[in-house]
Amino acid sequence: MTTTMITYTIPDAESNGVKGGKLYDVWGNFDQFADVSGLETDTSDNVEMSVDIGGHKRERFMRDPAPANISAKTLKYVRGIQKSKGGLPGYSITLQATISGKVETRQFTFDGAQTGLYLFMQDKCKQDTLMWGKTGNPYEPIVKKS
Amino acid sequence: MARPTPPVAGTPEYERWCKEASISWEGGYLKAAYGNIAQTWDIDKIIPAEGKDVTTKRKQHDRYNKIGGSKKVIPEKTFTVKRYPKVNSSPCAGGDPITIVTPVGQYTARLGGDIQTFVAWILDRDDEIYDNFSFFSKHGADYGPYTKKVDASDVLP
Repeated sequence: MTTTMITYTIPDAESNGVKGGKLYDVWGNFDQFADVSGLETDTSDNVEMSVDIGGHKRERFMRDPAPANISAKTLKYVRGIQKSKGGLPGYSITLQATISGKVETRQFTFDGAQTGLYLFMQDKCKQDTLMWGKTGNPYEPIVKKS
Repeated sequence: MARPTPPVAGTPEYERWCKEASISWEGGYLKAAYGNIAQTWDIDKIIPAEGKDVTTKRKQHDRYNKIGGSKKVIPEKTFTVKRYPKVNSSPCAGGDPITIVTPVGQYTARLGGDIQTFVAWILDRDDEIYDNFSFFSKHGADYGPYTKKVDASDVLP
């Protein structure tokens, strides 16, 4: 199954400005835990780029009396289509909730303040959720807003 | 001893300076354009790497030259050959890139083997350095500078 990783931008908390951050959802599960409508997502740039490299001389050895002339050229490439091989910035956080009658425990990578994500979940979680931080430290249970 | 002047372009010597060359020692080697090596060390004085005796032993075994024939016992024997340090031929770049910085410029060379062995090799030949140089490992560690030391026995009275 091909899954496109979704990168959500968790906003800074409105109440006290606790920093949000990027949440990397590799398997597309985060929307089962929280209401992600309105969240910004990063999409592939897929932008064609070009860089002009000026003409220059290249010495074959130090003090070369006849250095080679390297003519000017334009280097073309596409930006934003290469994905990470595995390592993502940030740290792992764990969420646990009962989804469709089954207890689901899932990990996500997040690079903001843990309390920022906690406050977001307090506001947007779809069901009561448990959260563990990067060192396995448990947080107070997050209760769904009625 | 002055650093040599680069040869005139188009001459066979110039072509040689452009080509890659290597210096080998037991446990490592350095590869760079010949012109770069020749402007860092006094090529004519670099002492050739010494060979090392390698001994191989043949076990005693039986040989039957003709099927069903009589057995010939091949006795145990020890062979000793001289093995000299070398750089194996390969289309792939071997070793690690290092940047050698000299007073007349800097260049990238490929260093095979252990850096500490290379430094020991440099220090053994510090009277063959033109004036001084230092180098950066591929991780950016700065080694040197290594300066020319004149052996008292080389100085004319």
